[in-house]
Amino acid sequence: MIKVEDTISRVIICFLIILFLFYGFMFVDNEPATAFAERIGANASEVDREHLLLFANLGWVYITFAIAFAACLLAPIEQSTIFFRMMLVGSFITAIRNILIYIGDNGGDNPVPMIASIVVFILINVLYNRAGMRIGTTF
Amino acid sequence: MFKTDDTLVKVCMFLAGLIFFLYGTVMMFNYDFMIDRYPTFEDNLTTEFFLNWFGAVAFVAYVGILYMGFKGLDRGFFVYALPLVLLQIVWIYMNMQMTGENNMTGMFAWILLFALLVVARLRSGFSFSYEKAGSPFGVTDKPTQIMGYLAIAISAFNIIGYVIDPGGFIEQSPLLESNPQAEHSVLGITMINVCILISLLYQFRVGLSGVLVTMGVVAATMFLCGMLVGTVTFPDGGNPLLALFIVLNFIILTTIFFRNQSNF
Repeated sequence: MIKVEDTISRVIICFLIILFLFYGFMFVDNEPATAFAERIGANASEVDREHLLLFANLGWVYITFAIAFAACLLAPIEQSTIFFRMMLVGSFITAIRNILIYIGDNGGDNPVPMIASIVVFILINVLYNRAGMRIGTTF
Repeated sequence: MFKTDDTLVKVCMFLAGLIFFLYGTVMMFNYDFMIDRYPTFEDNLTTEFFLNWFGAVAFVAYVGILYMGFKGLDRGFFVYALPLVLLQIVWIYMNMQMTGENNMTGMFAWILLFALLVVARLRSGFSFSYEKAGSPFGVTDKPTQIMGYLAIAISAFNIIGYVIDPGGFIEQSPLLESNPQAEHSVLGITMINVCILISLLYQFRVGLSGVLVTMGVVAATMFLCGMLVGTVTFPDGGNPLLALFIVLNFIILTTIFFRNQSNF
């Protein structure tokens, strides 16, 4: 059933599925999203309906990525090349952005999102290397 | 689709999947809609918790139909799904008797679902005699067998636990409020556990079923992520026994899945 043959790649993809589902489920629901906003330094009273709607939209993006990773597990690894490249660029931008937010004037309350985004970037790099996708002239 | 030429079976399975998907997504992600539709539902965390749980079960059944759409029909699915839907109809009827609720939409939808699944099962041509496999769970792999026995033990423990102390689950969960409807929801979860036990005993006798194991691993992953979200949202409000079962369930099902996925 699973077409990815490399065990470490399988483990990384499974971990990413759980991580993305975790963040997805947290953002789509109002109470966990508010709790998350509080943990990263926002005042709970400032989190209004519009913020929660944006959180939920982001949560669905995360759930979609989790489904995409599950699909990658079930397909030959070379068919996932474009998705991994997109995730590599996306996770790099997210990691840099979270680092800048964390070291900025209003950041620094909670390093977990920054650490999570760095971990995702590293894991996707490992995945990308192990799948032999770095060989090529386009990227 | 479903690796069958019978159009009626395809239509029945498609509609059944649609109903499972509809209920699954609405109960998991838009429970306000359900609370608005049913005046007897209290708008609180307890209702939300149980709606999420039932929604996840319906969504996992949809995943099973999706799986069979690609891989072909599997009679193991019906061994789980038919009792599940039948018991849910009984559960909805009991709920209506208890609360005086007169919204029949759910009842009709689940009766239709049951009829669709019965038609698909009868026309699928699978035998109704379940021959014994050569070894427990149809495999010679010891870890898989041990995990299978553990899954049966956990499932039986949950059912016996409910019989001995029906209110115990809510008492052990600090965030849940005890009221007749919540206690009735715990009965619904026990009914789901009965169906899980039936499907495990079926696999013990006949051999592992790809669709049931895949549904199990999807459910275990969803419940694990849900539990992690609950842990960070309400750090002091969890049920340790439930958390233990969710983690154990995840370990058991991922072990069975990854050790046997090449056969599915």
